[in-house]
Amino acid sequence: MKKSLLIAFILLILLTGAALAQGSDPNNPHDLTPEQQALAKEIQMELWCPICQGVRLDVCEQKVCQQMRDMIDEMLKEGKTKQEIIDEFVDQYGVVILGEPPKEGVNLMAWLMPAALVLAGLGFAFWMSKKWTQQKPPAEIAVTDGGPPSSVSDGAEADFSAEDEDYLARVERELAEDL
Amino acid sequence: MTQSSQPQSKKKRGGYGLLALIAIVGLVLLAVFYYGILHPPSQRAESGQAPDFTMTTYVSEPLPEADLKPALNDLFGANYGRYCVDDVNKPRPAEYDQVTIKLSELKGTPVVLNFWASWCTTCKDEQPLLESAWRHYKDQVMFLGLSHLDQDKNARAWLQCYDVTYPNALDKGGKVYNAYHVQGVPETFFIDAEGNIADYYVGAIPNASILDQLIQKLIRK
Repeated sequence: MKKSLLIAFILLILLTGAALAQGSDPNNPHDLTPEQQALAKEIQMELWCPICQGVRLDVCEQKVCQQMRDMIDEMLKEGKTKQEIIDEFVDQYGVVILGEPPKEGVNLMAWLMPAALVLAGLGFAFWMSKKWTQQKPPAEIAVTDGGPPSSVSDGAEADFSAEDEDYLARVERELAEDL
Repeated sequence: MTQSSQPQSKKKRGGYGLLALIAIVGLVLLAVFYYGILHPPSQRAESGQAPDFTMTTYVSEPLPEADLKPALNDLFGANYGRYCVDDVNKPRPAEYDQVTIKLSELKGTPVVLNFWASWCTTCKDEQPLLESAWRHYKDQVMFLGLSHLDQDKNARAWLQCYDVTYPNALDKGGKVYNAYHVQGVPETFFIDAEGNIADYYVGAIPNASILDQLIQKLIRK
């Protein structure tokens, strides 16, 4: 019994040793510090796979992306800052890694659409503000010209159209019938 | 009655203004869309004058052993010997060590321009064909290689692996790639002695005889 326990213990030690000797963590092949790892992830999330459509670098499985992630790790180990790393990528790989579509062809829509929407929004806001300011004066006139509050309600009643009056008359008639 | 009809007509006019604005914005976007359809973003340079460029070739000294082996391992796997030449440490020609080459200055000589990348799988079968064609035609044709979205260490390990002896450089920022509107690597352009694009091949050139035909056509022009 004692012997088997001893063997098990020795095996355990050997296996642990073997596991440690396996080398670096596959999720951290360049032995980055936790801060560097966090920064690497942050940079990966800001860059895009240059040969895919809308795939972020941190989730891209292409060889080119793996090379880019390795390059980020290596540059972090050299002590480069996030901005320096991104700048170097833009210099070497081009703006394509920032996920920007080229300013040509149908892609132009991506650049003009936001501007058009902002313009349309401003136009709408301008139109709404005009509408609101135009609506106020009649009410003010009614208050200032009408004098006592009772005349305000008169003014309001005067706004009823013939259709509204017909409808009110019908409601009153039907109510009377029900009673 | 007059009081109630006036704001209504104003309201109507405001509504038309908004409609007109939406219509104008819509028309402008439609115009841009049609312009985009008629001018697709990626029209490959298929004929005419080849866009000019300059390239500064890679260091021809082999990478230090400590960098070369892991890089080859990463690019080709543990049995990289399957792809690579026996002596991966052989220095590449010193005449193309960090030299600047301008395409337009090569006028008078036909050029085979190949876009490749160390991460590109299909480039692996094409590279030996290009190298052996270069060794065969080097007196008549210039070969140029541009690596796309690549890194110095990986690209140099690749060149060592295949013992590539024609000038190769990084296409920094993908500028030449964009100028030729290349769609993906590998892609090869055959530029005649006058500097015009005579032919192009999309994807890996499958065998030596096709490459040979394309080069023969270029020389005969």
